[in-house]
Amino acid sequence: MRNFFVQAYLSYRGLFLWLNWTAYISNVVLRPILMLLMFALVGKFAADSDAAQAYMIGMIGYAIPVILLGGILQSFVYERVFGTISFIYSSPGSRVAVFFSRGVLHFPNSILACALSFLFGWLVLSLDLSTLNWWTMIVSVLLTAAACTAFALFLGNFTMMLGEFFNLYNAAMGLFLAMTGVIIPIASLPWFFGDLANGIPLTHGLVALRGAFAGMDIGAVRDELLLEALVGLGYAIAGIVVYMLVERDARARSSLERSPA
Amino acid sequence: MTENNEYAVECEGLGRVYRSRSLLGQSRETVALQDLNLQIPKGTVFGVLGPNGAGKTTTIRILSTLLSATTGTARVLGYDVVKEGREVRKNIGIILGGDRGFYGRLTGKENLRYFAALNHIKPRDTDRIIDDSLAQAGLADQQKTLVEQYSRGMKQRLHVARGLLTDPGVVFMDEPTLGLDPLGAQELRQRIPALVGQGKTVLLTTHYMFEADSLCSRIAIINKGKLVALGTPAEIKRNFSSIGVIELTLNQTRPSLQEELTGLDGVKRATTSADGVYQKLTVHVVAGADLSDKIAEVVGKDHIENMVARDPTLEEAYLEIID
Ligand SMILES: Nc1ncnc2c1ncn2[C@@H]1O[C@H](COP(=O)(O)OP(=O)(O)OP(=O)(O)O)[C@@H](O)[C@H]1O
Ligand SMILES: [Mg+2]
Repeated sequence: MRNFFVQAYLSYRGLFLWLNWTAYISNVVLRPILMLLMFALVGKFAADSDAAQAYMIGMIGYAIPVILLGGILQSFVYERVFGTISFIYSSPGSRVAVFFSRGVLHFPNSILACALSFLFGWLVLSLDLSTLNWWTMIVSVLLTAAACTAFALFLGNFTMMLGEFFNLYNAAMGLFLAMTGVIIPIASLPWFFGDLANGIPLTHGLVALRGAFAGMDIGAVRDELLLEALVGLGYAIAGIVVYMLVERDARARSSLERSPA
Repeated sequence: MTENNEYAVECEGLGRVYRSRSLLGQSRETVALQDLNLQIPKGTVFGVLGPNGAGKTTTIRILSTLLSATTGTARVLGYDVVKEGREVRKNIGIILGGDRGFYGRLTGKENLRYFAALNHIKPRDTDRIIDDSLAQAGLADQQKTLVEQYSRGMKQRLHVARGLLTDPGVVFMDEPTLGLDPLGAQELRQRIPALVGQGKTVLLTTHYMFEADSLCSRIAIINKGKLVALGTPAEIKRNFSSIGVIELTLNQTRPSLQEELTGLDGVKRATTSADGVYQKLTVHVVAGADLSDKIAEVVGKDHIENMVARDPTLEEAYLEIID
């Protein structure tokens, strides 16, 4: 167990290249706050203060995957770029531990980004907390962050194979913005997108979070929380399975040994 | 486990073909290794020699489970590298060298701490083991420096430290002294017999013939993926090279001499080099042929200060075998 956290800590510092003041402040602090500001104002001027409130809650939730995907997807790419992947593959170390250790310290980052958005909304943008159920909010955020971590780890496999993370990252962020109910209600999504949204983390967590702001207690949003947890669990399991398949494929094709750049 | 436990490494018909795709989608095949059969007894140093691209690194990657073979089987300490990969990985150390393979943002010590954790070294032993291996690798002073600031040789030292971190029974070393300074290289060469003394088996590749000659009890030479010579250094020199060497010290030479000598039946190669005030003439002849008299005649007896026949050095034998 101790070894797991050593791996989590050192791989976080070794692979997360945004871990310097400029990159960290811009990605964990400024970006979520600016997104929040923009959508709060869009809501206010295009519609009314109800819309602004709804958009802000969406953006508070959206802050979670923004930073989780950015951090975790790059970790997987740099594992290959740095060539450390070979020494992981030639070690008897538990692949489950390696895989999940890559997410551990990005989780608190996402909570921080989310909390800062919340604070900014509250202090600057008059986010309405009059009916907020704190416990429901806390549980929704933690669970959503866990599910998004699992999703990011799952996608990390593919960025490692591609050897590049920005394209997939941008596509995934677009997906979150458009399809998880951050701005556009799920019910108004065209075609089969509404069903697809059910399989993406944040969708159900966000429904629960909106419930929290409407004063619902945990029991009232239990189903949504459960669905969010299930989606996360699905990606966690799929993620580790794909991770092991990638390792097998790398042995056969010698595909990850060279730096992609 | 197999019944036979005396071998650290066994390969049977081992082969590897790389498939790569060009931008236009045409697939290209490279036969990197072909039908390799080897048996390496426990507690020995085994050398693999061969030109660039011969398949040495490929062999090491297969044996350390990093790459799957396309044909044949391999066992390390009796464990099949494919079916019992995890057991193999528990018992090996690898030194691949090069600029990559570390977290540049972490210090040398932190890198070793990471790999100690990955390899399930007990937390309470970790500090002692890491400090020991940093000291042994001559990196004690740089342990707090970020690896991205390491020089090439310092990285190589860290590769060595990591490869030996888990006290593995079998160590694969791919050109381990490449990039080390003379002292560092010598220290590593002196460490290898000590490792073997502890019962470990070392498989190393190198382009330094003297290194192979002095360290290895047995050597394999591979060329274009095929085994072309196998045996003790002495056997390689005598049996595989099919040359003998005659060395002469001359007080005078002439430009046409080399050509005249290679014109002789049985002479394969003649080279001259300066040796103080004298000229050194090295003649490679077909093994077993007694050409001393003929050579002396061509050179001119009066010009010869000294003349000896000897076995080829490993380097001479190697060049002959690869040719
Ligand atoms: N990942 C790869 N994809 C395609 N071909 C490869 C790959 N790795 C090696 N090869 C080819 O396989 C052959 C053997 O390469 P290998 O690295 O085993 O040689 P080597 O004996 O270690 O050479 P060197 O002395 O230069 O290190 C070469 O022709 C090389 O081009
Ligand atoms: Mg090589």
